Amino acid sequence: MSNPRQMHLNIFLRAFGGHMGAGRLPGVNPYDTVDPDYHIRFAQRAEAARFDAIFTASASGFLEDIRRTTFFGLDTTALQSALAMVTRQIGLISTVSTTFTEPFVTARQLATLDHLSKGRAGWNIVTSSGDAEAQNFGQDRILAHELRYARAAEFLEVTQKLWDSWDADAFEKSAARGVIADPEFVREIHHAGEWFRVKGPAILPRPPQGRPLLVQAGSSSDGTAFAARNVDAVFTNQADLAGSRAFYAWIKAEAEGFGRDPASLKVLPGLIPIVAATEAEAREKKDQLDALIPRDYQLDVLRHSLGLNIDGLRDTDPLPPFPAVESVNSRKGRFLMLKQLLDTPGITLGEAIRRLNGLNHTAAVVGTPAQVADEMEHWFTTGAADGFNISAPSYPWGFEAICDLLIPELQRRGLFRRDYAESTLRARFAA
Amino acid sequence: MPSPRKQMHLNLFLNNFGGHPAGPWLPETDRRRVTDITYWQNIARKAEAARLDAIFMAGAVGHVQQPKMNPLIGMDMLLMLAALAGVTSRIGLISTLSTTFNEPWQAARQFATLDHISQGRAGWNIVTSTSENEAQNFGLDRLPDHAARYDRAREFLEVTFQLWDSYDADALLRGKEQGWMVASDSVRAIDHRGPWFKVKGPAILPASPQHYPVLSQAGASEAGLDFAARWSELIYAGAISLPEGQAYAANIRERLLRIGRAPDAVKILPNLIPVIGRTEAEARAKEDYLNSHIHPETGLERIRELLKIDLSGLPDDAPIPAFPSLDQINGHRGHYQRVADYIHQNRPTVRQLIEWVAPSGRKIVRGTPAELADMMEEWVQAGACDGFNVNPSHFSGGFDDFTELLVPELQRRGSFRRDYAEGTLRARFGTTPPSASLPVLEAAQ
Repeated sequence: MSNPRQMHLNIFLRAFGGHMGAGRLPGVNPYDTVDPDYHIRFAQRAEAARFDAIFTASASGFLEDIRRTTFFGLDTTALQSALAMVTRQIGLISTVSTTFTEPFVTARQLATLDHLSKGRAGWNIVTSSGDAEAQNFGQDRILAHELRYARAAEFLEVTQKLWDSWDADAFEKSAARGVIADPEFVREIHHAGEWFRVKGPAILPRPPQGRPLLVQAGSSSDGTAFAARNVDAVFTNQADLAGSRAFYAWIKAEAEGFGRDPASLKVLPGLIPIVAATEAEAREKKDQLDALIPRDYQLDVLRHSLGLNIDGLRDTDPLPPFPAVESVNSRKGRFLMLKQLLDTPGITLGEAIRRLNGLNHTAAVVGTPAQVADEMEHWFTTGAADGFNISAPSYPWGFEAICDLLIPELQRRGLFRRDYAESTLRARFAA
Repeated sequence: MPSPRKQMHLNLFLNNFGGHPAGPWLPETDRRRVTDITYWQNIARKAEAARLDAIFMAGAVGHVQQPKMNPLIGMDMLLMLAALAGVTSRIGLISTLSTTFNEPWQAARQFATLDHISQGRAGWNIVTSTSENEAQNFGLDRLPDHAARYDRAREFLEVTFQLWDSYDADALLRGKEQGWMVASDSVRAIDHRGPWFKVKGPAILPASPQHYPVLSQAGASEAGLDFAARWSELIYAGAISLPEGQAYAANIRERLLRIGRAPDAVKILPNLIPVIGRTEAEARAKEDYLNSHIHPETGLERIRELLKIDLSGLPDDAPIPAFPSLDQINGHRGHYQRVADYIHQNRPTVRQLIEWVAPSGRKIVRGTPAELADMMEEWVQAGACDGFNVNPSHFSGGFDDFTELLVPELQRRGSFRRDYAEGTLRARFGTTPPSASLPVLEAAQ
């Protein structure tokens, strides 16, 4: 019996887990964030669970208060290169910013990861979002949103030209002519645009996939337009089913507007499944994590991610009005998602803190494997998702519960693969 | 009881096709190995089994010569070494990275990552790049001039040191106690502002096991020698003769003293390309085999450059036609003279000259394991170096000869370790990292 459609599930490899309380659990060693063995164990377990890919996010500086950073740790492309050696099938998606890197270097790095993994590389294309990132690269302020995406578009064009600068069999054809790389098969690109001048050719053979799987995580209008035109999968944070359906319909239509088959763009909302054998146990785990979050952390989210002035407010006081989205230059998607979560008439500070919990920009489902699978299936079958970018709430417990309880439930329902079939990540997402 | 011999350091200079110019053109060379990590894993495992100090990878960010003849194609070196970290446990991993075409924040993060992933085995070979083709991949028409590149390199290093120093050792543990990822009073912005870089910092990951990667550099020019003395811990010199090597080492030691670094803070490791045979006859046969596969263009280009004559199109057995005399030469007169002397004394054919000139300028030494070990020990005893950056003549044959014939000979003599000791790559070399607060050497006259 063939299965018409199965979910794509990426697993988000991040420090400690998707719940902000996870790093404070007893027994957590914060230096796991830079421990190779910790990452290797994670990757091998994720592969045994048959996830499509390991997704690693990254920033080029501290996006927010240094204390509560979510993007922290190793260079993700170097980390994924190491993980390529201890896995055989799972995809390896690295985040690289187009705002602070050069296309020649980035094209080479991603092609390298693709060669190292024999066709399992993915690129999460980000444009960066914080002044603190810009300030690590000689700029006082981050480029304006539309300029970052203009740069990203040309950046992507250059990387594609560099990957295409070598024919797939350039070595063989050149060898037949008695040379290493014949200019007929390895061509200069002579790109000259608004942002970049790059002569080329690339310094290494064409990557096995031709280009890595392209992923994008922006939820702003510039970001989604870029995604609809260019990428294979979009990772989006949506507060609820209705929001995700609307986004799904909109971006698929956009993709079609660019002449694409809408099925070629996969929509993967972020999701934190908090799974246990009983619903009570799952709720208990969530409460335990929630209790570990310092109140200051939530207040910082309201101040910095939403730009609300809450100084002097008590829990019973109403929140001040939300600023207009037009006034936000960075992480617009996150702003909109939080606004949707919190912007109800008369909401108090105390209620806002309760709603945020530790999951402030990712949807969460709490319950038994069957309950969580029901919810995921509902999203998947009613036009809200082609799969999910899964964050475990915590490690090791939350991650193991997903692998041991949730994945088998999805497999029983025929919603998720029991074995890998395709040999490249791109082919897996095209299937 | 004889005093224990001074042990030498041996890096594997790992490149696609080896150090002999015939490497890419041998019948057994499959160029597809360039992107085949399985191939490189096997080399790395063998290098570790031979107890080599480190794998050293050079490279460029563009085609430094026409792609037809360019052997320096390949994967990103740092990522390749990150991958090899997973299949090795002791050998050092030294990646080249250019300060001219990268950003210090990113470079500092990448090397800290390599050091974390390898648990203290990372090294950085600092280069400033040398070709217009590289510049033209980064929006520039021309390579920035020499002085500008070294000035940028100096500031680049200053920034990376500040970033590596931006975390206290317990920043994460204290952060967890306080309920945060990082304790904010254990991490410092660096607020660097210089002519080349403005970097706020801090780094985005905690200090790595070695704190700083082991720094390597190949100083040759005055500015390069100063830079190497100021910043590096390993210097891979290009000396060919022993007196040259001794002079180079003395020059470096003198600069170290002037700047206030200990003379033994730095290890000098000249390049060595051994051609090894069990007997002298076997070694000679191997060299003849290699020479016979030199691509004519490799020699013809060098002859054009040095003698200003073009021999392409002449039959292999033709004699060398007349060429300009010394007073008409504007290029490197020392090299011209060596070639001219060779022609006058040996009356070579075109092919013989190609085979002689193509490998010239590289320290290719032919011999039995005993002969090579004698030479290497002599260099170390004479103060010319602390070991060698060994670039096998070709892969895998020359590499196998190096690890299976030459290394065991050195081990028998007590000149090379039989086992790794505990500790980081820096502990193995016994070098001292430069301090970010050292004075800057007076610019050379």
